[in-house]
Amino acid sequence: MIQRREFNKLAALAAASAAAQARAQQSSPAPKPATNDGITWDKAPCRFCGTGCHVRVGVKNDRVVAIEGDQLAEVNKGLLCVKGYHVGLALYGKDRLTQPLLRRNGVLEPISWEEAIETISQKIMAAPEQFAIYGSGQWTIPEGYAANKFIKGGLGSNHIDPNARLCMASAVTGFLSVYGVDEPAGCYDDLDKCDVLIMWGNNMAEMHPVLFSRVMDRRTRGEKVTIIDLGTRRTRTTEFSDHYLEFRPHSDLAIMNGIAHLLIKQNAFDPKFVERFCNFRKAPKDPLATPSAPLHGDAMSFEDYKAALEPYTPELVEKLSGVPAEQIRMLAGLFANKDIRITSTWCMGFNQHSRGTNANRLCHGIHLLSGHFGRPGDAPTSLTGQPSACGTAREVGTMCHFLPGGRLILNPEHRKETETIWNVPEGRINPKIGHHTVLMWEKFCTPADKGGDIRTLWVQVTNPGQSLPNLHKLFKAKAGQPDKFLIVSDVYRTATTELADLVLPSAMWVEKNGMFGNSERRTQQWFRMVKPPGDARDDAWQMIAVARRLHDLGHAGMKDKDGRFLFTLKNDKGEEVPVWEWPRYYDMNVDKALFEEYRAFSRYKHKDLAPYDEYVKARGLRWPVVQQQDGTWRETKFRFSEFDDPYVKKGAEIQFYHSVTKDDKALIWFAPAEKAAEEPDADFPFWLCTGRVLEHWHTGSMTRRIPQLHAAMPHSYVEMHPEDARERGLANGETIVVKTRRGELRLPVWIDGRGHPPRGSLFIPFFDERLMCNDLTLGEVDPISKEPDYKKCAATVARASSAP
Amino acid sequence: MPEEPTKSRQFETSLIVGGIVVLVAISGYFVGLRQTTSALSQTRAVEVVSAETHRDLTGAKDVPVAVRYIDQDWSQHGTNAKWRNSLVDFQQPAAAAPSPDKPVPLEVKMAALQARAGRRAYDGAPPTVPHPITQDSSAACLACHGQGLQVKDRFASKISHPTFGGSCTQCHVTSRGAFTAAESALFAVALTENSFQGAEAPPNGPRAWPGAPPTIPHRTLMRSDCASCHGPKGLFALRTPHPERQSCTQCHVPAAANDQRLFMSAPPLDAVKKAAPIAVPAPLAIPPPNP
Amino acid sequence: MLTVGLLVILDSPSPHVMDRLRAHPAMTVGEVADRWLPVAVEADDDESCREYHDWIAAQPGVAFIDVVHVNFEEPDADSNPSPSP
Repeated sequence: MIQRREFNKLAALAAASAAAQARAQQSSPAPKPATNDGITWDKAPCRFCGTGCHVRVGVKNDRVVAIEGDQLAEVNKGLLCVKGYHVGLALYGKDRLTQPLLRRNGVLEPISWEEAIETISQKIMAAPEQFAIYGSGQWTIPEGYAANKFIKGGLGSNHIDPNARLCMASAVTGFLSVYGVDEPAGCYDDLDKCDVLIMWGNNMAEMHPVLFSRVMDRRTRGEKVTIIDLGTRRTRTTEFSDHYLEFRPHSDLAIMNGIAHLLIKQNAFDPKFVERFCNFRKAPKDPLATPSAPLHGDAMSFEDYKAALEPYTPELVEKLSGVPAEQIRMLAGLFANKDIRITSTWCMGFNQHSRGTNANRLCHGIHLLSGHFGRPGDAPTSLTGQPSACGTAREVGTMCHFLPGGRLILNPEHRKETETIWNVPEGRINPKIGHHTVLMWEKFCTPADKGGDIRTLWVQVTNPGQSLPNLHKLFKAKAGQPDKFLIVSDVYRTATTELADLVLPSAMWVEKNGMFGNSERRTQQWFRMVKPPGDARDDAWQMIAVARRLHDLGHAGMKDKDGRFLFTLKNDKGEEVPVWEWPRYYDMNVDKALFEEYRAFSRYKHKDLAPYDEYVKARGLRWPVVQQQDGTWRETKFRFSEFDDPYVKKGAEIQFYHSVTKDDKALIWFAPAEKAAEEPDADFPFWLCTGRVLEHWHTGSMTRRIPQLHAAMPHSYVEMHPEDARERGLANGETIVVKTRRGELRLPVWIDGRGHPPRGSLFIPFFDERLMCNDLTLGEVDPISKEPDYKKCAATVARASSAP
Repeated sequence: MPEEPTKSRQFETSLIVGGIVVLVAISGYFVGLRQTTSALSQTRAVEVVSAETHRDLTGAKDVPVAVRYIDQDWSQHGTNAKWRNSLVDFQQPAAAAPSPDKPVPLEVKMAALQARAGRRAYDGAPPTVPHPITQDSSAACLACHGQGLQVKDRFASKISHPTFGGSCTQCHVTSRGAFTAAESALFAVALTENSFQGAEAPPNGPRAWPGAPPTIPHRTLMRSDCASCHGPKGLFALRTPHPERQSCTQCHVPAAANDQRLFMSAPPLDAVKKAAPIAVPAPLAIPPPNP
Repeated sequence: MLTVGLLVILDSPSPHVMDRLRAHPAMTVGEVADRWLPVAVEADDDESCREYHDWIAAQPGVAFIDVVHVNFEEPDADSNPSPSP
């Protein structure tokens, strides 16, 4: 029946047509297309602190548009802090530096890159020995390596030091003098395993928030962790802590001696561990008496050690520190208990300390004495404040006394090995140690006729005009000295560019390839994802371009033994690329070439690094990274412990294979409790402490340009106890003057705000470039590490007579 | 009948006792309230200046006239003291929550997304806090944001990532600053403009066919509790029309473009970790210099 | 006898492929909507139906075929045994 058949056909066609219409309508463009289309994601470590979180960077149309915590990263497991979530915004402050600027008649005027490179080269040629580089723990590993090779292997000068001198130097001398090799034996995995977390002067909730949450989230999951906060003021960290032990500034030395005293008195230390794995040492009266005195100390028997600790009864310690004897006993009781795992963390509290090396030693000491070492969760671990303080400053050795891979300038063997790897003639490396940070700036600020032997200073990736202590003496004194030439490579104008004679615009973070090394020995890699603004260029390129110009001008040091340019770099095909020409710089991966060369240095101290391509695949790897029989690369979590460290002999259990005493033993040091370099007195009755806040990173040059962070913390302040304020008739929010022997500062007082200092104590964060607390700080350095104490000096306050 | 007076006396006694108990309870309640206020209040004013505007002394003699409840500024103590909100100023919500028969028009939804974007640097960024916060502790945050809260048109959204429950201020900072406007005017440097343009929230998830459950158009990291935005305490325009159904991801799955597991096709770290047993370390020697 | 409604999804609305389908005696082609083409197919049995399906799928420019309607009715089975004159 035709009709029926036709009807069936039409029905089928109608059904199909309806479906076609529905599909077609549905696919018509929505009123607003989903904007997440076209975002590409890539990995990078966060630009800010030393925690080393990995972020995923969302890029669209050559701009960063989103940030996400990387779930594959072991460090942060998908979480970030507020700075990390906003790190992408750091690239887009509207006042990014985009062209080189030269100061003429007091004004910074645009010049070409050729002129800029020529100017630097001429300044160096005129007096190479009076040229210095002030670098950074924010340098990428290849950047620091290029600078180090340029000045030590090229110019034959050791006047290079990083800002890490201001934050990590005491941790370095601590590790070197205890284990004979730098950097923590444990890692962040300890935070997942410890039963007790002791934070020594470490406001982790604000300064290393992701690590802090790593512990706090264990509590959320129902695990029990005892949190102990030792501090000189109450902070956000205190709010989460089970115990808060408030101590008098500088008395941390007494507290640790008190713990050691009790461990020995109660026979609660670990005699087996001490006998097998430890020797005893004391710091000589003059820590610099002989070249080996600073790190080797004087031998001491266990009996001597016992006797030295004899006076540090809990009662004496209570008197010195203000911490009740009961709480000292509580701490000692924890260390006496071998069944629990104790992790200690510290950062600037121990390090920025005029006895910082000793503070570090004593903390390692109580862990070793009690045997709380070498098991997951049992570790003394220092944290870093900069993303590559470990990777670049410490491992690459961009310090005035180091060569790459933990080698020393003073050691002729080390110089020879370095010259071999660099293929430069014997004797190229200057055997004399260069100027450390504070000395470098002092010499730069001193007129040449008065012994100021640094004339040209190149600053990269840091802001010493705000972060140096005692700024009047160490930075501002540069003003008005026309023969001193300050070069600054940065991304924004800062307190440092204020006095700069030449400003170079740099590429930052994901505008360039890079590698960082975080606090737990983890080396991380990322690729360039967006182009830098204007004519901003990579810091490493700047260094190589100057080296090439010096080469062309005939500086003999810019050639190796075979007459080749120091930075003769080859691409993957083995072809040489003239990377000093900017358009050619990304024709090859300069980072990879420099890193593969640097990698040769890493074996000596068993800090073995894997090939570059392994880091491309991973979210960072912790050294030593050792190749397996099957060709894969394995990282090391727990150093010196047989169960994890491939370099420990079978059956040794624990082996300190870089031991100072060459017997595979670590050193337990005795150091006395001492007074601070400057203590409150009748004229200056307050302790003044400085530090950071959650929202801002270091001098704030990046974070203060991020609206969300700026709005949350728009300016600096001074914290004070309410009773102290009441006595002086000061109201919350009032402008007051804080004065020390070095300077004064007007700023608002904040009472019971973010932190709560005890009576007689002040705190000022240092991020604010208009309210610079380093006009006030002391600049007294630890005699061994040369790291200044920013945490203690004497101050007084007064009501500001009129508004500023 | 000697029992009668005893009974009534007993009754009287129990009335008195009962009255005392009730009185004590009531006054105890208010004392308790006061104590809670002062104990919670971390900000101890150094100079307590009585706020003249809130005291009406024009009444007789030295006896102040009681302030009407409606005029009382309940938030003048504690950390939110500077956030002067009056409950009566709150509006009844203009829009009603969506229901299956009343879907939200796209422009209303876009407006809601716009409002939401105002507190975020980009879609997926932790929102800033639109009110002052306790500066030294996160303890109070979950009082409102733990389960979410709605008072008329004001919402305190429910925490969207309950497993990260501790340190709220680690990621969420206040957009109202820590200081008064006057202090900030004196000291804060004006913010340098920032030209960052963040990724925007996508409006609608694509559907497989008309009537199919839409896929999730946005990324879900740190947004695992859908109820935070789409539940009964979320913004009206973003609420689900079927709040009675609890297992969201049974029907709504992330769009493939947002698959957060994929990444540059790089193997996860496990590939490195699951390597063979430790090899014998190579002898300690400096490798030859690179060519 | 099978009558089937198909939704043919084209890579792009190309007249060439539509012409080829129209030319096929067993197929009736509807109006194309964007890249979705409705087609009705008559087939004697299951096997030939499958052949037609494969034939359409093999045409260049055809991305996918959705079956949206199937009718198994035998129009001339019992209601009208002999064809009408």
